[in-house]
Amino acid sequence: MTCREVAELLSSYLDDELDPEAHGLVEAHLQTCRHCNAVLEELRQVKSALQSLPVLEPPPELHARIMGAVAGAQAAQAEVEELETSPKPGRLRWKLPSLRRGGFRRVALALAACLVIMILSSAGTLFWARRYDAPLTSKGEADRSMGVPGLEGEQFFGMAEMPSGVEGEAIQRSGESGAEWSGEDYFTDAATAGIERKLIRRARLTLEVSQGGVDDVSRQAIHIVRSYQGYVESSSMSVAEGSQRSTAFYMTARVPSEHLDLAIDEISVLGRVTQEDIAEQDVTEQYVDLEARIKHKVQQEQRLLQIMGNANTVGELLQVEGELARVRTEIETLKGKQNVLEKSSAMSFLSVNIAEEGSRRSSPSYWGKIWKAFVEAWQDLAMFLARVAPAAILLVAGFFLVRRVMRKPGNG
Amino acid sequence: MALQNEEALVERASRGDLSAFEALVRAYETKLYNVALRMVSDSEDAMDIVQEVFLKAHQALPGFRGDSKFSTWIYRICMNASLDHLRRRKKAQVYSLDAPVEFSDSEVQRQVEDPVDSTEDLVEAKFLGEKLFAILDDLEPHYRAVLILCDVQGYSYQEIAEILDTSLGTVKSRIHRARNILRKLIAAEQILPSYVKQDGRRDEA
Repeated sequence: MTCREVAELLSSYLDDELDPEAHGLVEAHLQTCRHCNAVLEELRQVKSALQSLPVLEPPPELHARIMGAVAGAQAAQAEVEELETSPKPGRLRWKLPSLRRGGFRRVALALAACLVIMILSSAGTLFWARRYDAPLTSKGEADRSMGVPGLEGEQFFGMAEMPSGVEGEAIQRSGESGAEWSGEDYFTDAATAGIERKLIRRARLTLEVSQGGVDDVSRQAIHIVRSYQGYVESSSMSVAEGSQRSTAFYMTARVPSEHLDLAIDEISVLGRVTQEDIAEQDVTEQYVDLEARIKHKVQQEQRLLQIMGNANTVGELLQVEGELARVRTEIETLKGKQNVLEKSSAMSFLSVNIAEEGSRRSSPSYWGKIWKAFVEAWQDLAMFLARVAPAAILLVAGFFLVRRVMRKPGNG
Repeated sequence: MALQNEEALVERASRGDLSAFEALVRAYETKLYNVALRMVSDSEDAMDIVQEVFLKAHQALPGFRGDSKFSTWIYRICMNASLDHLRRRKKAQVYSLDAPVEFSDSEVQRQVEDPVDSTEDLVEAKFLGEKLFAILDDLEPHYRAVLILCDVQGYSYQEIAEILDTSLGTVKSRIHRARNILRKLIAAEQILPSYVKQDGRRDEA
């Protein structure tokens, strides 16, 4: 193998992406060629320089931005889907008239007439729709307040009035089922010590509020979170420019677990709840396990301290000290993990999504849908005609010219 | 915390479960942000790209059949978005380099010859890798793409080919060329004295 051939393969060789045969050949060449070895070394340095690039943490607002945008898009998508399922104007079918004598002219005339009508009427619709659209959207609010009674809203009002004893009950219940671990020896003292169940709760709430209300409601939601000694981890407000402007708000917050339900209830009544889910993850087992391991390690630490007291030589002392340091690090790590669990279960995750009702327009009337489809169809058609018009006019003019020129000799 | 199965998450997310999607976002946002950042070298732009990627993914997820792995799929979206972004940026700046950029296997020499303006950034960059990327800024985006995927993200050639939707051979030759460009640039620019002191040879036979 020549140096040139090898040079082509060195990068793949470096990445271990060569088939065994080529790999062997390159390896053999490298045994003898200093030059190629030097090149390989340089390539390796390039690779390791790139490999050692640090992984950068994205700015903290990235997550909220993404989720805000996605939530906004989901709302917009719902609107599109609704439009797609709404009735579309039926497809027109007609038979082409026979193109024998006279047919051409009739077709051309009819087409020209259609063209004129279409251009005029679509321009009219476009103009009219523009003028009409503004009052239509602002009227929408009145429609909604009549059409959609606050069904969910009332339900959640009911829940909000429930006594706060609900959580207490949940914890009691957890005490009963704690028995399933009692067979394991480390659990018994923990159980007798009356350890409560560690639950990590994640709640997600999607609200719809009236148009323009996102700003206000989001502020109230943040206020509610804070009033329960919670805090907002990240929040974002995004404005989607679609067929109409729609604002969406997204936040992730942490709320003390015992207040989570109350906070949800209070936020729920700020708008129409379209989605609410709460997921619970039971980490009691992990928690107890960590506790037992910490206890074990602490005992080990005590023993090592004893041993250190009895150590005779410096060598022994150093050995024990090294061991002691290791055990202490482990204890710290375990405690750190336990803290994380403790905090996660003490502070529930709550993400709130607030979108404008208008962006989804929950239930436009039947006629409203037809009107919308009608207007849009004409708008599209107007657009099409505007694009096509110049070519069409030229074509029609050309067609008549050609006809005239062709016919003259035939007639005369 | 139990690691949830990615496939199950994808499945749930494609049925419109926002919390499952959020879990996927959490799993990938940092990785994709880093990829985009290395591609476009601007944090704000990278954030825009990552947001766009997840928006697209969210939209396209119902149609995601699982022919490829989710990670390959979303990396591909991210790479395409980054390349698109670079293309648009290039247009916006009206770079009138005397030759159009060819995206298949274009000539390198033409673009390599002027890395001078990036040398100022080089002084500030802490890591050699970042210096290299500053140089790469002047290079064909596809070269940067393969190096990011191969060296920074640690993907195999086969996976890179899938992500970039190209052939294994193309990946191989792009990596080969990209690394050689950097290698020679390092020597020529004397970015790292230690590189050059290997007997002053700048060009191999």
